[in-house]
Amino acid sequence: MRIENPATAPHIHYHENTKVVMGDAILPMAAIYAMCFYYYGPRVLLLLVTSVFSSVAADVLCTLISGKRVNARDYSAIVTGMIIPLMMPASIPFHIAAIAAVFGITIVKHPFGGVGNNVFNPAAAGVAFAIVCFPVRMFTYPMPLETLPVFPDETLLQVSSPAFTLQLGGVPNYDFVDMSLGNFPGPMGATNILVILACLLYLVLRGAVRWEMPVAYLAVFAALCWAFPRDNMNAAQNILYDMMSGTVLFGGAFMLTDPVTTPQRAWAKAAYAALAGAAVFLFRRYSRYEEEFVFVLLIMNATVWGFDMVGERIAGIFRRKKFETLDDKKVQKKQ
Amino acid sequence: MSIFSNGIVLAQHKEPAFSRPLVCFTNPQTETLSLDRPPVRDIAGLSADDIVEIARAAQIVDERDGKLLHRKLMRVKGRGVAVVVDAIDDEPYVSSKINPLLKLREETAGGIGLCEKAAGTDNVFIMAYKNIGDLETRIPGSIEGYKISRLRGGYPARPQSSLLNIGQGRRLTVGVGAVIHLYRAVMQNKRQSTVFITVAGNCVANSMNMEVSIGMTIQQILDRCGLVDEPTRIVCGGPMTGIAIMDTDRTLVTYTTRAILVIRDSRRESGYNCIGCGRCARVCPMGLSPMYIRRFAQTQYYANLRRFDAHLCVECGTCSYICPSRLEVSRDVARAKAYSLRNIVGAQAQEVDELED
Amino acid sequence: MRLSTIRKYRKNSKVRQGILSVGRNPIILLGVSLPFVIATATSLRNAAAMSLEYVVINFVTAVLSVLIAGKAPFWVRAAINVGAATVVMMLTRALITWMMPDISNYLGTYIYLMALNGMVLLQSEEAVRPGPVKLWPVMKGVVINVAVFAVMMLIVSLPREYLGNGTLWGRAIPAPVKLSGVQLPFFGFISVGFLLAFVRFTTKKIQAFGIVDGARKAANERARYTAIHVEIDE
Repeated sequence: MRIENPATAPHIHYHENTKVVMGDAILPMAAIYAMCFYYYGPRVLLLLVTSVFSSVAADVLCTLISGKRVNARDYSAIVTGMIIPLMMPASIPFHIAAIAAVFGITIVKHPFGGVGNNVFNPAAAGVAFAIVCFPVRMFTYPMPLETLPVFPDETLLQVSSPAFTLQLGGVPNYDFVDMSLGNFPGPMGATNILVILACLLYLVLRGAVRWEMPVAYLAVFAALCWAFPRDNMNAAQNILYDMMSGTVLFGGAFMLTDPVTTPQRAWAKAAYAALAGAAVFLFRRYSRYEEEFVFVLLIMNATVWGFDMVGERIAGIFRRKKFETLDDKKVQKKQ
Repeated sequence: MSIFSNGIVLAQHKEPAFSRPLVCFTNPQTETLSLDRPPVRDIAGLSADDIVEIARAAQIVDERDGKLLHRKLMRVKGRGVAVVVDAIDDEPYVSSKINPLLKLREETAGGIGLCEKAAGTDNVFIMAYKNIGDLETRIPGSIEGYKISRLRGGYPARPQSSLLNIGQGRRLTVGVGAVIHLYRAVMQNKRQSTVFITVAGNCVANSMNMEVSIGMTIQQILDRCGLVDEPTRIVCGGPMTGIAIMDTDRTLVTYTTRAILVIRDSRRESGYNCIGCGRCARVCPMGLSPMYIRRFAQTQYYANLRRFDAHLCVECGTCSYICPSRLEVSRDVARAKAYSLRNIVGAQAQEVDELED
Repeated sequence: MRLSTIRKYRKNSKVRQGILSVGRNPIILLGVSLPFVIATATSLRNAAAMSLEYVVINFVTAVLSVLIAGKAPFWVRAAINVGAATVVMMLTRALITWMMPDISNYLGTYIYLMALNGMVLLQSEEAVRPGPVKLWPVMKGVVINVAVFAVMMLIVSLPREYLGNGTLWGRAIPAPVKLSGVQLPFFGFISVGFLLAFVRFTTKKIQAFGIVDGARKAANERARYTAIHVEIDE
């Protein structure tokens, strides 16, 4: 018998494929969306649909323009579309989420090479663009546990988040139980601290995220907060408030750990995450915006290549040492 | 860190072929070919030269590397090197080395004794791969007095074996098939006309180990085994490093065939890009970074191939195995390695297989 | 080192060839127009003002450099060029402030920067080529350069004003959304990049009409026999 198009080795594959890898990212975010739905009502789901739809449409359009084949099972655009609304307030107008998604996909992802080749995280770039364009609307949040109407009135009571209070130098007046459960105004997905921590644990246990990354990131951030607390609170309070208010934790769990935009080797990843933690601390303390994680992430994404080259050099040293026994000199000596 | 790890653990699927008896499917005309010399009467009186001469007359080829056995024995004659019998079957489905070892024990032991005499050494042991989960027969600790040394760890085990024994000086590695054929050449005056192969896969009704004549077509063997399904892929060799063949009527069994896999794929996944997850770097037994090597080869950034040690690749196929996007990583890295060995001169360019014997 | 030795070898020095030979230095070539496009092409009126200034300065300095070509050493010519450009720039700035007072504050330092435009030096360098310097070729070069600059500024500033402000030439027109971030310099880089990509795309399409099918097939055959495949259709 004849078989056309024979394949190359290997002829068996590990059962995990890209769908599983992407699914690993989508599932925890679905859990976060469920929590947001509980706090803010069905508007959250409409935001999700808008953002995912615009990012997928932009992705398909860009793929067609660049002449590649559209792969319906490529879920990376869906992941981007899911991350973007989680960093915005729940009362944000729909078009802002759509604009952020379209910007991220068409300007930051495809011109740099598309899936797997993008230098910058498209979700972070989209949110950064939205912050730059609409600074007021991105930073006024609704109170949780009030069902939001689909098109909220502009004169609805909007409050500022604890991050803003911290930036001004005050102490937020929410207690820790409320803050860990997410019962305070803030970016939609970033307030549910406990859910985010659970999702992080799930990702680490599934192997989608190396444990060195969030551990290094949070350890460095906490250490710097403890060493240099803000003026009017002690170290422990500072660590908790800084971590819980704003997208520090959410970004560290979902955006910092994106496989495409992080270095490859484990220790390079840990060094990258540590540097990101230090940068986030500095930005939180001294920047003008109250929400600065996306900018830090974009800057760190630009340094990934440096971490990779250094990591490869170090790996090369270990590798040559291990295989050095195969050297000519030693074999000849034994003869 | 993959440099400190021992490869990747694969589900081996070696049963039922592992425990079934060896099936003979040979061409009666070639099976009884005898040597052009009188049969040996006095086994104990054979000298090393005699054994080598018999191996040459029988034209025994070592199935591991395709080299003639008498040449290998001649090079180590009287030098006191260690002789290792290679029964390492680290790829899934394949058990064509360890099965004859267990089923034809006297022949194997006799052959090992002859190798001992030919090489002039008493440091002989067998190496087998241990990390197989679901076996029905136990691999014993020794066969007729010859110790079986076990390799642990994941796939690929063969590069690890070279590392483990390097401190003990030079060694000669022969395959189990060659050992058995040497015994038969001495005892029964037979020329080598068969090889041991495994036939397995989800299209084969009964996967088994067979002794088949060299020169048979693959189609004949598949007809003997019986197919239950229409295959989409027929592989000569192991699933990790084998070659898919196109025409079963025109592909023949050779000295180095060790398995035929008949597989029907359920669904082809294609069209994905590299997502940069880094799993390939994590499982590479040589500690390379296949993702980057592939990227450099594709963008023709050849200067970095030497820096990223593309020439150290052993082509085990683990990177392609683990890739969630089902990319042909191993093929691309092998091409990059060939390019870098051909075109980039440097202190690190050694031929890796020269070091084993 | 002795001064005479330095002078003798200065002609071959890399410094002279790299930095000062402005026709070959890509940084100066890029610096001629890129910063202005990125930072100031944010609305049509800005673009118009900058193009106007570019036109005036270039014409004046081109005429001047032709007039003094070969009559003085390089540094004298450069000094005269830059001095004249500064004077012209001051006059233009006054003109812009009188015509459109609201934007001269926004343009700020870029109006002054134009005086040191590398084109100035380029023209004074070009005017030194051996042989008689004719006015007409220099003028042709200037016209092309100016036209390209003006067109580029226009193309980049049109979407930036519409998307960023919802206005066209300062008059508000109905626009669905106002993205003020588009007027920041980072979007200028992005828009220049997209413009480049678009130009390459159209150039390739135009060239594709001219290639005979057989030549393309031959090129593909050759590509297939190379050692490493560069197939990007995975």
